[in-house]
Parts: sequence; C-alpha cells; structure tokens
Amino acid sequence: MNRALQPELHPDAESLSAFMERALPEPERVRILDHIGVCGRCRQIIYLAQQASDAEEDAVSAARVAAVRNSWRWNWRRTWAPAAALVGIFAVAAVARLWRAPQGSELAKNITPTRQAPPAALPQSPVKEAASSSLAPAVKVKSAKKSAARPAAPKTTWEMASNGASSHAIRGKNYAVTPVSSKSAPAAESAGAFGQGFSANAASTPQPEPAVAAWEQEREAVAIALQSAAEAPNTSQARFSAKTARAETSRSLAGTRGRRAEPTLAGSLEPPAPQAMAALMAVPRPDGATLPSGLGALSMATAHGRSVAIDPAGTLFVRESLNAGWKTVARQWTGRLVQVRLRPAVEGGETANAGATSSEGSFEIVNDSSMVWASLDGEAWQPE
Amino acid sequence: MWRGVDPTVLDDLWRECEAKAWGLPRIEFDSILNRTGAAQNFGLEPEETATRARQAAWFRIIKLNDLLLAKACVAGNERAWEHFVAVYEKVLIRAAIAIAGNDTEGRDLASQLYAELYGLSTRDGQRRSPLDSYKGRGSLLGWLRTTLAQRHVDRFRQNRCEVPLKELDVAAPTAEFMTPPAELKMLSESVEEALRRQPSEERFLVTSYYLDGRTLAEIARVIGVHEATVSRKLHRAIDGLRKQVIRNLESFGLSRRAAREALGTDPRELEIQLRNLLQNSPPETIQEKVAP
Repeated sequence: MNRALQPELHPDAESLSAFMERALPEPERVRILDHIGVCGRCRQIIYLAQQASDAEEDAVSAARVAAVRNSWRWNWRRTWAPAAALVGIFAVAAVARLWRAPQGSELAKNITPTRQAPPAALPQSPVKEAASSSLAPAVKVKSAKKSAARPAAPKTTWEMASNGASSHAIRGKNYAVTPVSSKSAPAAESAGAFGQGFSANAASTPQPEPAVAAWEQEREAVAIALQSAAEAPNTSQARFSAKTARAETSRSLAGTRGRRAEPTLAGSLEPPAPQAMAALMAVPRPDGATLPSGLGALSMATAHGRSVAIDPAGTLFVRESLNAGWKTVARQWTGRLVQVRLRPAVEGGETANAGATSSEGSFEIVNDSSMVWASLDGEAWQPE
Repeated sequence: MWRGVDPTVLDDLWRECEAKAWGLPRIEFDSILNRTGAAQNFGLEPEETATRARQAAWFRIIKLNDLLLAKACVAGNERAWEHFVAVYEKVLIRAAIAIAGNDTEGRDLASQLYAELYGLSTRDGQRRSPLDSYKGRGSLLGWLRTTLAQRHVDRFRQNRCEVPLKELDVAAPTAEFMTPPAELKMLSESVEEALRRQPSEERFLVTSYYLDGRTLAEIARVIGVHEATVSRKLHRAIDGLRKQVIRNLESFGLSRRAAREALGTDPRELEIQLRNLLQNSPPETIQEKVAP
C-alpha cells in the first residue's frame, strides 16, 4: 500500500461541510478534492451528509406538498361551508313553502263556504268569487278577467246594497263574518240585529275578530269615497273615486289577510246609490254604538226597537228606538253588570240568546256575581 | 498587532444580526466576534492586518448568526441552547436517521451527538463541546450533518471487526487467469502512478463511481454539476487513466502491445489493488486536521 496516497490528517467536519456547500475558496476546495479522492472515509462522510441533506429536502418538500394539500382541502372546506349553508337555507325555504301551501288550501276549503255563503237571494258576484278564492293569484286573475269579460255582469254588491238588501252581502262576500239570524230579521232591523250579533260575539270572545277590523277599514274607505261621490256632480268622477277607494282598500286588505281581493276586481264595481250608502253607514259597530259614557257597548240587546246596553264600566243605558238617544238607567242592582240579554219566552220554549231579537220584549241583566234582574222596558229592573 | 474588531463594524453587525431575537447580550456578541476575528485573522494570513472594510466583509461572508449561536451555546447561554434545540433538534434526528439507515441507530446517534454538543465531556476540568470548533465557514446545519456522518462512519469502522468474515469473503481468482506476479507488480505501480498524476477531481470521480459505487446523481450533487457533466468527465478520466497506465507500463520496459495485454489482466485483481489504494484509510489517520 502506498502511504503517499493517504493523507496524514482528515479535513474537519466544517471543511467537508463547507466543501459540500461550495463555500470554500478554490485552493482549499482542490485540497479537499485531493484528499477525498484517496480517502474512503471522508468520501463516505461526504456522501452520508449529502444523503441526510437530501432526506431533509425530501421531508421539507413533502411537508410543503402536505401543506398545499391541506390548504387546498381547507379552501374547499371553507367553500363547502357556505355552500352547505346556502343549500340548507334553500331546503328550509322549500319545506316552508310546501308546508304553507297545503295549509292555505285547507284554510280556503274551510273558510270558503263560510265566507262565500251569501244570502240565498243574492247572486254570486265576480268580486265575491275572486275575493273569496284562495287559489293561486294567476287563477284569481284569470277568474277576474273572465268575470270582467262577461257581456252581462250580474248585479254587484253595491247594486244589492242599493236595493236595500243591507250590508250582509258586502260582509259575507269579503269577510268571514256570519250574520246572526239574518233571514229572520226584518229588513228594517237587520242592521240592529247585525249589531247584536257582533255584540254577543264580542262578549263571548274578548279579542276582536280580524274580519271586523278589516271590515271597519273597508267601510271607512268606502264611506269616504262615497261621500265624495255624493258630493261630486260628475258621475264618472264619483265612479273613479269609488273605484280607487275600493282598490286601495282591497290592496290593504290583501296585504294584511293574504290573497283576498285584487285591485282589478274593482273594475266591475258600479257606483253605489246615496241611499245605500246611508244604510251602510247606519250599520253600528259590532261592539255596539258609542254610549253616552263615551265607551263602546259591552253587551246590548234589542227588542221591538228598544235597546238596552251596558258599557264596560257597568253602566246601563236604554233607548226607545234606533233613532232615539241613549238614556242612563239608575242603578237598581248590585255588583257590576256584565251582560244584558233578552228574557227567554215564557211560552213556546224559545230561548233567546244574547244579542238575539225577541218578540217578547223583556230584558235581563246579569252582574259579575251571576245575579239576574229582569225588566220589560229596560228602565225598571226587578231581581229574579 | 491585534487591535480587535472595529467598533463601527460591531455596531453595524449588531444591528443586522438575528442573535438579539434569542437574547444574546451585546457584550457577549462583541466578545465572540473579537475572539473569532483574532482566531482566524479575518481569513487573512497571520502576518496581514485586516482593515475595517476587510473585517466587515469577512464577517458578512461567514455564517455569523450560526457562529454566534454556536459560541453562545458553548459559553452556556441557556437561551441560546433553547433556540438551538428549537431549531435543530428535529432536523438533527432526521439527519441521523437518514445517515444510520434506521430509526433506532439514528436516534442513538443523535443523542450521543447532543450529549457531546452540550459539553458533557470534560478535559482538564473544562467542558468541551464540538461546537467550539465551528467557525462559521459553512452552515451550522451542514456542520451538524457532517459531524453526525463522521461519528457514524467512525463507529462503523471501529466495529467493522465485529462483522462476520463470511460477508467480507471475496472469491479468489482462479489459477488459470492468474497474472504473473512481476507483471502484476508493474501494473499496480503503473496504476498508482497514474492515479497520483490524475487531477484531484477526476480521481474523486473515478473512485466515487468505480470503487464506492456511487451513482452519477450522487456524485453530481456533491460536486455541484449536472449528471451529464459527471458522465463526460468520468469518460475523460478513464481514457486519461488508461493512457497514463500504458505510458507507465512502457516506462517499465514493456512494449505498447505488451502494455495493452497487461491491461487485459483480470480486473478483479486490479480492483482489489485499487480498493487497497483508494478506498481504505488506515486507522491511524482517523484524526481531524486542526484548522489554524
């Protein structure tokens, strides 16, 4: 073995490391090459160190790839989250829509007969058909158009009202209000009977009927329009005002109660006669007329034109006729009055409910202790 | 005469260095730079004096941040050790596993080096750490890898006698192909002479490729060239080596034809000679050169 080829000393680790990093000046690099060309140990060290460096680079690049993959997945996760939320929102909306749709049709099924049930003598108007229909808007519009296209339209609600058929048709047409004993009541007193019915309903159910509020709203709008129509010399102008009022009322009601009436339906309306308007305006509030106490009637009963009413404070009032004024009745009872009703008939077994009209013409009042007083004229009361 | 590092250079380097991040005090920073500059004379010959510009340039050439970390660790700076462990612990274990070839030996190798680096070994009552020999010429990570490789190779060579002989048994050449000893001796001397005259890089290529069995890619990564360049240089080195061997044989009195026939000697014999010449390092030479 030629020892001349073997170096006496090995380069240190830093020199070998700097050699691999090419950080050595050329003379020193050549010296290292001279050495490692004949020194298996140092060559082995160099290759092992290089191998470790390669492994580290592989690990780093693998970590980078993993980081890129993770970031890609993370980005997809970030994309999926709002996408899933969006899908969820659409699903909830679809379910809600499906849930609402059958509910609406069921409501229509239940309500339609009640709302649309007109008096037997009244013809079905196109307004009534469309307004009471709870089908899709397109169907309603189609129905309305069909009605408008008819050459000879039947009498409208307004015409019926002008003929003295009271306001049953209007209420029955547009709102789910069922008049009480409308058939048996005389035409002249139908307004009072209707008021009684509402009074009784109000007493039994403290919360106001939504239909009442809507009816009230419509009545005010129509009254304004009709007042202007009565004052206006031009008929076409009056017709326009009535149409406008009607349409606005319908729109507002449609907004509060759903698909009830459509503005286009107002096109088939005829201007009402002033007499009919007077009758319409004479309809008392469902909760009774305003009493001298300034309060509405809590309970009211009418017999032979004589009315007896109780306000929420328990004060009793009586009036001779519908056109007469209210008089306060002196206190002849104990406790607080909560109800006035017609006295049941002594013969014939007819029982008069609260708010119903009785031919016997006697009244009963009930206090908060369920004690009862009776009177024939509403002014002199005797305990039962 | 050593006058220390210029204060303005120290100020500039202090502003640039990353050692402040792990809490190296300015006093220690100045001390390390003065000691390093004095030990290496800023890369100049001992009799030369470094100017301020030379000092600044030299400190920017070396791996100053790694050097500061290593010197602070040697000095026992705890925050430096924390930073060292945080940065290099996992890297060192991965390197040791890659060098040793398996996880157990790799972790064992890394643990031993850690113990050495921390200065568990003492000499004359002083803790000694291999980090003290680090001078910042290469990166600290490269130095750690090379140190690990050194430890592994030395341990392997020390334990080589424990390897069963059967694994090292090389089949003897058959008698019919045996070259006469005289010609074999001439051939060996010719090859030795050719290798001695061969440029250092070609010799490294030949030994790496033919003796160590390294691939062109491995060789290319070590010397920093492309594989194709290594292949071309390798062909040129073999051609030059063959021509040189023939010339050497002719110088021994053989004719060109006899010299070419001598090259046809069983290559296994020549390979064995080359292994003896180029591959094995004598045990007594396993000591590192002490850098100035």
